Amino acid sequence: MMIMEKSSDIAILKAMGADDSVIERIFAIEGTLIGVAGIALGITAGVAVTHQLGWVQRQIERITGIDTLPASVYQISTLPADVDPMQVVVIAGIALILSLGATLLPSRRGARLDPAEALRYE
Amino acid sequence: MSSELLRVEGLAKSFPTGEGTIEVLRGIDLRIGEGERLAILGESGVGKSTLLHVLGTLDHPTAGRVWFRGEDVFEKPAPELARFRNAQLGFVFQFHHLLPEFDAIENVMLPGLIGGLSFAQLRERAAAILHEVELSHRMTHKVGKLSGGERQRVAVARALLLDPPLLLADEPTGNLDPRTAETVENLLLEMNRTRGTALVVATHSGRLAEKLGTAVTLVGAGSRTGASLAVDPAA
Ligand SMILES: Nc1ncnc2c1ncn2[C@@H]1O[C@H](COP(=O)(O)OP(=O)(O)O)[C@@H](O)[C@H]1O
Ligand SMILES: [Mg+2]
Repeated sequence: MMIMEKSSDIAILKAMGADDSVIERIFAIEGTLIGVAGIALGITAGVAVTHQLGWVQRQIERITGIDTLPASVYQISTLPADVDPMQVVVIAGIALILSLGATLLPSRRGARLDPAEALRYE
Repeated sequence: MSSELLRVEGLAKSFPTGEGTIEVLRGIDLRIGEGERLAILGESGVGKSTLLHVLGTLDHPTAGRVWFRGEDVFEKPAPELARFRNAQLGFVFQFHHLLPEFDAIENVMLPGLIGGLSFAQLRERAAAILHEVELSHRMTHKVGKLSGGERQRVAVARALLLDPPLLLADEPTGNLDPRTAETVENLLLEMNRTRGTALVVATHSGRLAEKLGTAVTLVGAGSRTGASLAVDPAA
């Protein structure tokens, strides 16, 4: 996606003498950075929400006026929440591998783009 | 006549498509000396961009050869061709093709960064060139904030950063109002005069071709197989 939108940038970089390998590296780095930033953001948000689950539950009850865990039905009145560091690491690792996979192939394809062809379409 | 910079012999270019081959260029012969100017004149769709792309090694010809300072450019393997473009050619396109995420000076520095020059040295050099194109006051503006004419002057500065002997410009003023077009044309001519950069400009404007002084006219291309194409060198 990102790389398709960038086809005219790739063409001009090639016109300026950027080798395919340089362009591939630019996109691979950019994609990886986006992936890493996304994962960091996701983990931060996930851990924060888990820690504050009681607060989140109270806000939902306050706004909607619904008792989410009525004592008449459930034995518990708050959701149990626990952050397992190992689980966080495994999930981050899988996400990183997926984002790399989603980056490297398109980067290679983007680098091979025909500059003359890309410059035809304005 | 000055010593030879670029020579083209028997150049042809056709594109295979679903419905047969489109022959765009055939039998093109050209010669450009160091520091000379040449207009590639012709109507829209006649093959000016195609020719410029081949001269700039962005596309390979179907037949024929291109020599640059005596070297057959298409003999070079791809990485060497990339280095050749970096050091010997400058490009200016109709749509400026600046990178929007960067400011003016960073765009101008790009060919040097690709060429592996040091950042500090490049910044100085880029600032000097932006001064030459009278954009010192716009150096750290994002290119999106610049006017069309200013962007095209940034593109000219970028093309000339590494002082290439040849500048290829494809309809460099085709997207500008007449007044602004005139200032960009004059800038190109001035760079040719002061720096000795040879100038090849693809244009449909007879007026611009006249200003450049020498023109070849492309005719009759852009049609299916069998189209004939002539080049008329005109003074
Ligand atoms: N990659 C391509 N595949 C098929 N046809 C092409 C390709 N590139 C250019 N053409 C055709 O070649 C002709 C010349 O195009 P172009 O060089 O862009 O002309 P000009 O720049 O003079 O307007 C047009 O008919 C165009 O459609
Ligand atoms: Mg064109």
